Amino acid sequence: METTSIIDFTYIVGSFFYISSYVKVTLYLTFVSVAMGALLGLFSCVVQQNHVPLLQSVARLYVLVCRSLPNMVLLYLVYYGLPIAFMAMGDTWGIHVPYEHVPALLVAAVGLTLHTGAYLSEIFRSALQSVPAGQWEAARALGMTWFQMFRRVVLPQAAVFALPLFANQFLSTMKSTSICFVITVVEIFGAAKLFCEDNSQYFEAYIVAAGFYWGMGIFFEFVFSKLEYTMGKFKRGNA
Amino acid sequence: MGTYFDVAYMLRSFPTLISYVHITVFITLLSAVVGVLLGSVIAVIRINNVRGFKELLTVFVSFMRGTPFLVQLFLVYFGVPEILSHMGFHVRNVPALLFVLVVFTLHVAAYGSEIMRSSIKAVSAGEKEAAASLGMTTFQSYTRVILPQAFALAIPPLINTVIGVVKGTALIFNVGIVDIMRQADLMGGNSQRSLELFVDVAIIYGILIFLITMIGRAMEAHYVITDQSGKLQSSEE
Amino acid sequence: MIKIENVKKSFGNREVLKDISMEIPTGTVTVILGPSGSGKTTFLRTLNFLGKADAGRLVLNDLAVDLHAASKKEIIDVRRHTAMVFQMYNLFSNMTALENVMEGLVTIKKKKKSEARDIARAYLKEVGMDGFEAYYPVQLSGGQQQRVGIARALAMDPQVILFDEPTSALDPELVGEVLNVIRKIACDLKVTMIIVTHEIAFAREIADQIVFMERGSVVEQGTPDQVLAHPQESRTRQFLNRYLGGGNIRAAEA
Repeated sequence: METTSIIDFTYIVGSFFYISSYVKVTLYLTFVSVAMGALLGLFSCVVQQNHVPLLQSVARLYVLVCRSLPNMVLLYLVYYGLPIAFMAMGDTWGIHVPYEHVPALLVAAVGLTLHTGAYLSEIFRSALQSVPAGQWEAARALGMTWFQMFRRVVLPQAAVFALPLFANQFLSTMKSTSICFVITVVEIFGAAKLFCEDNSQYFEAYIVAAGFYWGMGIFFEFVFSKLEYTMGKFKRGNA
Repeated sequence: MGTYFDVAYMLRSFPTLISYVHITVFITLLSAVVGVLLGSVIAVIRINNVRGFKELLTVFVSFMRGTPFLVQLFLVYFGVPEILSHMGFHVRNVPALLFVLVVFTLHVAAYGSEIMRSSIKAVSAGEKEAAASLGMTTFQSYTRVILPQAFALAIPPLINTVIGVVKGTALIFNVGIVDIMRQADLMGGNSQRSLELFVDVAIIYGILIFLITMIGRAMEAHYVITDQSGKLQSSEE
Repeated sequence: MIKIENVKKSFGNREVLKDISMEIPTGTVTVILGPSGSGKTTFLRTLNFLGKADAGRLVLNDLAVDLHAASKKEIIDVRRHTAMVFQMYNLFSNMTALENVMEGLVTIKKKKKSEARDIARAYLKEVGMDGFEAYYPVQLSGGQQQRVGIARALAMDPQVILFDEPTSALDPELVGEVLNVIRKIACDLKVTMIIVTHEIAFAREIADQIVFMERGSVVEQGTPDQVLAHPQESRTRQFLNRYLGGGNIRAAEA
């Protein structure tokens, strides 16, 4: 009788070590996409809030499109579209970007940034709207410029409101990095797939990959809740 | 746009691609309905602290929400048959679609249970007491009073979850399902015009999501009328 | 001397401010009274451009602006020379009481933090809120918040303080502490003030000039004795009757 165990622990350990060297790719993609996405989202939000002509409509279209698409489709659009965009740029403006060898990591980062930025734009918008109108008025009455109002009064309050939603989006983007293996980026999930191609130990590899995501998620959730506690001091008072 | 983007090809390919949309719709609908029902059951069990189940379900929900959908899909599609074959069961003939349905249903159930948990809590305690004092069993008070109202409150976030499922279906081509995405991939391989095809795909998904959003708004309106019909009448005096 | 000339404003077809003018001598208190909907708050808010007038002119000692066509720079200038105390206090909820009073000094007047802190402390003491420096608005009662709001306005050393119904949102037992502070700064510090309020007894006590508005126009204006004790217009009499009850009018006429 065969003595293959149901779950082979040597493969669990093996896949753990194999996959762990790719964790940094996942983290890199997550941080870059969230950081760039935050800038993009902030720009989109401010432009809509201040009703900047033309840019406002572009921002709204961008948010609508990127929130209505599966991130897989968005990724493919960037994957196939970016080289063509570079080609067009090269022909019209003479800027030569080597579009034959657009690195997959760049495509992945751009795709995830566009996706994350659209969601963050809406989060930032609702955060800005959560700041009571009276705060804006008191700042205006003091004679503050828009930048002063925003930096000293509105942003600190909006940031506390946005933080839980921002944390959610961070975690969501982190999980989305798993789709990048389709365009040949090797991160945690891609590594798991590579590992079990050799030995067919699918369950072991994927359960370890799942464990990595789960663990990282719990860690970041903890970090964000601590951040929320510190930043939200003024909501609880100084007693 | 010439060689950059072939609009004519994009339009020509649209009918072919949209003929595959029934797979996406089928998966979405089935997993949404079964998933929400299952999620409600899970929510009720967790709220009522049924020992044994509660801890297990908490872990289940945390796992489904804390891991990427793609990992869950591969885990179930590749991993479960492997485990089962080690145990002596061979599941080679089970269609891929079944695995996909199972994963999506569990996914919706996990997210849905969190949504239903907070909306059940939001249904006022007074109504639960009234139902109890009328002599209803727990089961009756849930099915006739609490769940219908909790469901009405939960519609917006549930619609969001269903939209999440639609977006998730864009990944099932990885386990061999021939849907819009796979078809676009195949056609693109032949014509070398993948961008146009995926713009078509994007439009199709956009339409689907738009339709679901509209259905969601219609459902909300239906519930709002029955909830607030009293208020509306008195304000017309 | 502050001159306000020919302020007009309409919302669509509805005229809410019909050619309002008044003069505010420096160091005096002007109280604007009137029923709800008379436009008194709308009028006050056009003075620091929180609302936009359709026409009018404001002369603040050396600064003259068109209330409709003012440039961004002029608007900020006017706001930096005036201060407002709000019905809903509007303290910056992300700052402590002290930081609230310091904020304008540091950000607008570009003072050093240590200097701003000393000035802010002094004004908090003036309004009786020393000891509450490190508290956030969420920990303070309405009356306490409003007093900090008054300190925040005072700290800017404005040419005029605009009070928009400063006690209307307060529980009755907290109204007194705020009125006391306003009385104090009127009598001791001689700050120029325009106060929109419902507190008629208080108005009689501290106002140098009372302006009665109804439905967008100035019905009557003069000293408290003139307007409250011997009102010329029947509309003024009706309003006072409603607020004070017939007895007081008869007593005043006696």
